[in-house]
Amino acid sequence: MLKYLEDLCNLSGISGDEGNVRDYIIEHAKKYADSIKVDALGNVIVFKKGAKRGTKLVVTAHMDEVGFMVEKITDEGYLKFSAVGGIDPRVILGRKVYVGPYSIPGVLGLKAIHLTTVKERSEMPKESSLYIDIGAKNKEEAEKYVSLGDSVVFDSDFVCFGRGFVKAKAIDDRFGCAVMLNLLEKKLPQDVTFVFSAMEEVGARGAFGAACSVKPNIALVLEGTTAADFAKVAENKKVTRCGEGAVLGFMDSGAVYDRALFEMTRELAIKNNIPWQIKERIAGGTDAQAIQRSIAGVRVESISVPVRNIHSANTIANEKDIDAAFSLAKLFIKAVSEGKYK
Amino acid sequence: MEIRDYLHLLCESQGPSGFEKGVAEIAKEAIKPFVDTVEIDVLGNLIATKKCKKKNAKKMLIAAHLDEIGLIVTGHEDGFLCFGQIGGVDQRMLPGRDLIIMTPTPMLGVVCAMPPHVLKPEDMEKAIPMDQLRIDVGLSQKEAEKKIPIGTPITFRTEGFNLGEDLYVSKTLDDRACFAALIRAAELLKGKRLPWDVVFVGSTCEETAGKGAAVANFKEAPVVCAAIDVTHGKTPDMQEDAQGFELGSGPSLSIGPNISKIVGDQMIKLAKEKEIPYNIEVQSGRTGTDAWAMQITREGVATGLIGLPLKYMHTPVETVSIKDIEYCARLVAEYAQNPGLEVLSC
Repeated sequence: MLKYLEDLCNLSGISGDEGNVRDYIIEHAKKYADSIKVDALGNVIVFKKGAKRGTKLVVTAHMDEVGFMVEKITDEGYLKFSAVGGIDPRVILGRKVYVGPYSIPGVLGLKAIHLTTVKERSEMPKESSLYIDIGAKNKEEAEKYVSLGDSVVFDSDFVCFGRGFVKAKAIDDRFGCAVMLNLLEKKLPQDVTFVFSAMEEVGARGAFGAACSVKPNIALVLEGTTAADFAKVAENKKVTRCGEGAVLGFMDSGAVYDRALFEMTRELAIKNNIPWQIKERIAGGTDAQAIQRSIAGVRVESISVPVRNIHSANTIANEKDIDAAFSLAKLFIKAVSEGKYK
Repeated sequence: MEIRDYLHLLCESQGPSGFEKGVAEIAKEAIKPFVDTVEIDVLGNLIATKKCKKKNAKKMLIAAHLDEIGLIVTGHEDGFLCFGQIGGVDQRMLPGRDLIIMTPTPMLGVVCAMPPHVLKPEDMEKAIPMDQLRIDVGLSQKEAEKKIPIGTPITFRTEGFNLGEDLYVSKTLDDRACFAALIRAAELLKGKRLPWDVVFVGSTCEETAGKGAAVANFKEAPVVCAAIDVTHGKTPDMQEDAQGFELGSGPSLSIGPNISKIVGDQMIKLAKEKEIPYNIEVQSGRTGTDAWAMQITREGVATGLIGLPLKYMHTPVETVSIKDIEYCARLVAEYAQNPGLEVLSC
């Protein structure tokens, strides 16, 4: 599991530019899949036969990550950019990034503290005032290395630390992709279509098309979700807690999840001693918001892992939660194959 | 070794002010082949001397500081670390930052980035003050207390890399890039006749008061001393009237009360003669370098200052030009051989 996660997190793939992640997934899924197709939106749709046909079941996770795009090159050779997906500007200052298809290194500069006023130091700079330095002398030189519209991703590495924690960029939602690759390796109790979706971070765009082509009756979404279980945060604002189990979706800003599926999943966790929790805040959204309203309606549930510093270069999750999410997803498929969703 | 190799070697080691032991040992080994003696003094300064082999030789001393800014553990809260700063750390770039906790086996730490929902709307535009930030080490309170005692220093976790054709990015180029220039200067002086002993100092605690350089200067008692430290490189977000120097345009040579004319003028003269590009930096008072403390050691010492332009000072992505480091090294080497008669007759 961690090997897939490490490989996947180290790949670059902002929304709409998921090619690297897609290639990796196809390469690793093809050994176990009965069919693989890439659709018009860039989703990878992997079908795997199980012991029986069963009801039409989709398990899905998104491939894309948040990042930036080059919007303008200044006369001095610096790059102006805009965010792809929701990034809090306070986590991007003074960071290394990679720009474009050739991964040109760049830095998000920040005026030296010595040159700032007290007021400047106490405020977050506006995103519009920031720029990326690629070491070019002027616009002409910069244009040799980068083009308008180039993707920009955070530089980060994959590290295991503390008591069972991992740190990497894009755990949201490469974790879900890793879980699906693991599920693909297993013998399944019924047919499952795995959708590795594109463009979730800009509004669950890929999922719309995939749901329409696969036409599932049930969809299970694997996601990364906010954990604010830091010191100094009030208990009722922690949302989810790392190390305390898989997060079962009952409602977020995008969907009220199928109650029967939620209850079924909760029963599975309790019966099988799998640590679980629910999100203590109605916020965020997953591909479920798109899938649920697709075709003539789809029953949806989500299993998530808590992720600290979500949408930053250093996202953090706990291995125990990832294992719990995997075990629970496996049980979910089994329960569906046994008709327990009815 | 090339300058980039020295930068990599020096910047990748951890040494915030007061904790320079590791980096001083690395710096010592790096400069050793080019000097006659090396020692580490009571405050941790690295003192490396190239002798002129004359009786009663006078000395010139030039210092680049080895310490870096950093953080230090001041407490534990629910397994997260509370911390203070060593030197001037910019709180705005801390959230989500990865760090090296300098325990005997170094550990990863990440500054907690509070998601928007836990911030008050009026605080969204504000930088979170450092005393409200915590560091995530993935441990329980008990484990954190045991493994990471109060007083453990912390540095930024970065790996240096090349930017464009001539630039290099890393933490701590302030001021290890200048120490790299000193190593290169010592290398350039190989086999050269010197009018005096040249003492290269890797000083300690510059970021917290310049104590290291002051005591090294006292102990060595040179007739001339100089600091080589970083100065601000030009960036697009600088105020128009701020002094900022284009990277690659050579060292800055300062004029002002902290710089003795007898030293400063000779350096400018040499830069012109030897065709080393340079800029003039006007410093009307405190220079914020080791030169400030060094000038008033003992009965006072004639003092010079060489500035290496650096962008994004005190961030983990400090940026310098390799060409500028080479120019600095050449200037130091030229000055070491040609101090001017006036100075030598002091």
